[in-house]
Amino acid sequence: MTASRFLSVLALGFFVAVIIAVLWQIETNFKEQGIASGGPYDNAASFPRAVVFLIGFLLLIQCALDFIGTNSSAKLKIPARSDLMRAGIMLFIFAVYLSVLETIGYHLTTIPMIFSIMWICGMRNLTLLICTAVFVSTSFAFVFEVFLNVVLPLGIWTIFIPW
Amino acid sequence: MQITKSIHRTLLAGTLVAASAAIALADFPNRNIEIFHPWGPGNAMAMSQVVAKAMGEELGTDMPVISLPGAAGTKAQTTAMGKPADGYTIFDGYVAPLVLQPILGNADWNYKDFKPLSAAVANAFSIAGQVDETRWSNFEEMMAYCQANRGELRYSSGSRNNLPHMVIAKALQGYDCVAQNVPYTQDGNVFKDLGSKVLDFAFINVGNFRSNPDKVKILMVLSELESSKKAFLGAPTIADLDVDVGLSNLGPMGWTWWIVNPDTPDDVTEKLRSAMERAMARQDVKDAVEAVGFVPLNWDHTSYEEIVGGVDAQLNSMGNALAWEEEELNKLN
Amino acid sequence: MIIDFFSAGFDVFSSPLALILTFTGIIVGLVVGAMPGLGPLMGIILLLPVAIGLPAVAAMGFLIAIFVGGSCGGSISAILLRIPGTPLAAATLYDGYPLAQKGRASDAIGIAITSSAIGGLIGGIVLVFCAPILANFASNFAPPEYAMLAIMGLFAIVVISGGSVIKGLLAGSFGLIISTIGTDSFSTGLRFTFGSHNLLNGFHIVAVVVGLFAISEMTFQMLKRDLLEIPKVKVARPGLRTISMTLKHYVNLVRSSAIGTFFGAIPGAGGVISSFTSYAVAKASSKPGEKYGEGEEGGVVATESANNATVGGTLVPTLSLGIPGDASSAMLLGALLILGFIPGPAMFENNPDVVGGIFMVYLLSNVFLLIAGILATPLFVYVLRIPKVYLIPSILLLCSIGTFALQASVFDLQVMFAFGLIGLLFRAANYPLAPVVIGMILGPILEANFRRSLLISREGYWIFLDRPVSASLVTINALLILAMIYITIKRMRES
Repeated sequence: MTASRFLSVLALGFFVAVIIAVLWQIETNFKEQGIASGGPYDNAASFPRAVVFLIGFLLLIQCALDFIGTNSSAKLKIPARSDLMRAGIMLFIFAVYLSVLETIGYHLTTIPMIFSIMWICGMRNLTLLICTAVFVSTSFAFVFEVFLNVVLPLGIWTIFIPW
Repeated sequence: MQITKSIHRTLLAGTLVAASAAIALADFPNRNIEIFHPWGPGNAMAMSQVVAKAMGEELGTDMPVISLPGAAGTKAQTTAMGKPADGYTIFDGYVAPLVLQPILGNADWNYKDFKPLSAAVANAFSIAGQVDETRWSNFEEMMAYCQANRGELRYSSGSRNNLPHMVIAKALQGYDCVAQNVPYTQDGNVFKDLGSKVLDFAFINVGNFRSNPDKVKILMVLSELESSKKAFLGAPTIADLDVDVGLSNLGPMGWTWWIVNPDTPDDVTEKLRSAMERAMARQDVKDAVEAVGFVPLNWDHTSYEEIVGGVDAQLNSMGNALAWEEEELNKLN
Repeated sequence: MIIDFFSAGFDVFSSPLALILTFTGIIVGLVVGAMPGLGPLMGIILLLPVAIGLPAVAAMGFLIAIFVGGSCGGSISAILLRIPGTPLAAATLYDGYPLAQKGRASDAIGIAITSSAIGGLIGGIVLVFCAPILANFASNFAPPEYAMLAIMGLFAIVVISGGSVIKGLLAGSFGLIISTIGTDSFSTGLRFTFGSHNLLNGFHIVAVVVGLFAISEMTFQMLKRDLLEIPKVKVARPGLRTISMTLKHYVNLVRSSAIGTFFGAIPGAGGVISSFTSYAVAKASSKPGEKYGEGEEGGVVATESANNATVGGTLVPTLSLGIPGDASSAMLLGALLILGFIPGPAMFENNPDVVGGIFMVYLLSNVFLLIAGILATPLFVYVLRIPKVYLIPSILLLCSIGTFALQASVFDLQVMFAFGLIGLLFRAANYPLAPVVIGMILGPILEANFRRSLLISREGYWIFLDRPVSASLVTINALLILAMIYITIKRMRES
């Protein structure tokens, strides 16, 4: 299977998953709540059901088109493994950052996040790495906290800068 | 590299600021206090921003208001009460999330679970009809028409199962009148569709009415308060009805009490209370609240139990009105 | 009559404070618009406490200018970074980004700003001359008309998707499904919330947009090997040249502004629908040789003039009926009330100075937008010269704080990330992202107004044909379906 064919199948699989999730919820949770049938006042299922039927219909056509092979996505350039790794690590770091942000707080998480993303971009100058991470993190916090009154996540140790 | 240079230059400034980061707790408040507001952007939110601004000035800090709509206000209340009990989070406790949703079984708290700061504002509302209506000339005639033509009338209380819906359903039940509620997400559109005769009657708040007093006809003000009657230019109130539909002594209901997590330290709560009371007593705040068509309230935390408890009891006694309406509508379909 | 408003409002309008604040508002608006996450609405909410302490016209000038600047600012990041700063700019991406890729970033931004300003002025002229008439016309739009308009909006997806109509429709349907998550306002039941209180109001559209576009784009950028290099971009000052470039598209400009004003004037529709619809109309009526989606100036003209004309449009029902056209104008309405003025027909009679002053600050803010925008374009374009090693982490951080600031919610950040992954899959498999946005906006309008119509109706579906405006819209929709079928069959025969 070529990469583009694999991606097409993955996308189609995603839509199939959406259809299944919607119909499963309607059959179970909606029915328990009593909102899966009735008139427009009570029936919360009619619209999502209609939309997933539409998705199903469109999927069939798309499958047929993919099968015939009229798709232009065959031109897809496959990135090198090292490039894919770099992007993957970036996503991983970002995911870790977002998941610990609330617990550890903005300042203690943002500086390492910027530092490590710049590192995987290939920057090796330690001074520059640290300075940029501290500068970007602090200056963004300054703009949002002082001008826009946003309270950034403080974390369990309640760390903030009293501007 | 130009950028490298500029970054080096800002190094000193950056580290200085970072080094001054305070970890220890200083005097309360030493940072912004957040207020969670249960509705989307609009007049009610602007109202809370007015009170928050004044209160923030009294405390010497900023108090941003965060709009977090969803599930009749319970999303914002759940979120606010899930934050640390340090006084830096306040909930804008409207009746719907605080009292009504627990009664309807959609929330598992009781108003007694929270610490009140002070009452903020109330919003008067009324039932209005079309301006050149020929089928009836007042509320009681409309009810008679409704009783004779069960299920024919269309009205809107804004959202389904909200406070106005409960009160309207109770009134309709009193007259054995069955009408179809049509939910809307924006009060402005209810007003628009009543004005263009798509709806037969509707819940109308003061704000929309005052912008276009000649587009609708106020049939009944849903409060016995003199200030509410005045806001609707002297239209009849439920006190003027001949029949008791179970709404007599209807407490002022469309209010909000600002509340905090029950575990908030007492000294912090006291600070917040006195700041809010001072803010609510300010003339500029009262003027701004009245300008938007809301009623500024001067109840302090000591009357929380009496006011909120009273509304809780009253709404509990109305409890079956919504179920009754659903049942009757189902019979018609 | 109109002259009376202007002469009455001139004194309050021409105060130095009002002028300075209007200009400041434009700058603030451009910045919050360009930053992924924040947009005009958040700008207004965050600065409303500052405004309500000021004289009425100065305060309104400040807030309206944020609305105007913010409605345009999103296009800057869309053009430069392929990240729409606000959902309003999602359709600007189609031609704005390819234009920048051709080395015409300054031109593209200049055109976006000029179109926004002219679109805004056209919206303003309608506001000044026809507010009461248009407001009365718009108040005849009831649920059946909204439902039919929403269906018409879905056709825009077909037109803008070009070669991959099915993929566009799939992405649009995905947007429709996402919009159903949360509390159903009719049954009050919970849909697809899986027991989480965070999902009670569904996903925040901004978190979805930032995730889909920004996170996926940053990941794609990480695949490249020029991360440490300083990009060599020529920064040309756009100047007056872009104004004449924009004016060449005068038909498109006027048509898109008219569409934008119309959607602004009917409460609840808003800027995203107007920019997508104008883009679809511009594309459908393009001349042979014009390649929309590959960097056509007309694409930027259509979307940007439309979404700024919408600002003028939303002020129509807001000022003349006291019914806000969208969430941003709802906040403006709140501010106006706090300042002591009740919008509605009475304000036009009793406070002509305030009405005239608001008209003038609105018109002026569009002029300031043009001046400030053109002057600042080289600054914006400078972003393209920052090495990606600095740009990527900064943008990821900006997306995170901007999205967090919406509701102080870490959950929104998780939503953003999840949609980043979905965006990656969509882009890798050649599915367009913009239809997801229009689907999410149209979903609630379509579903709620359809169900509302049926509740109001005493004769079932006939309500859609009983009302003249609704019946005409039904006819237009039917003709559009027939045209689609005809074109598809014709294409199949040809191939």
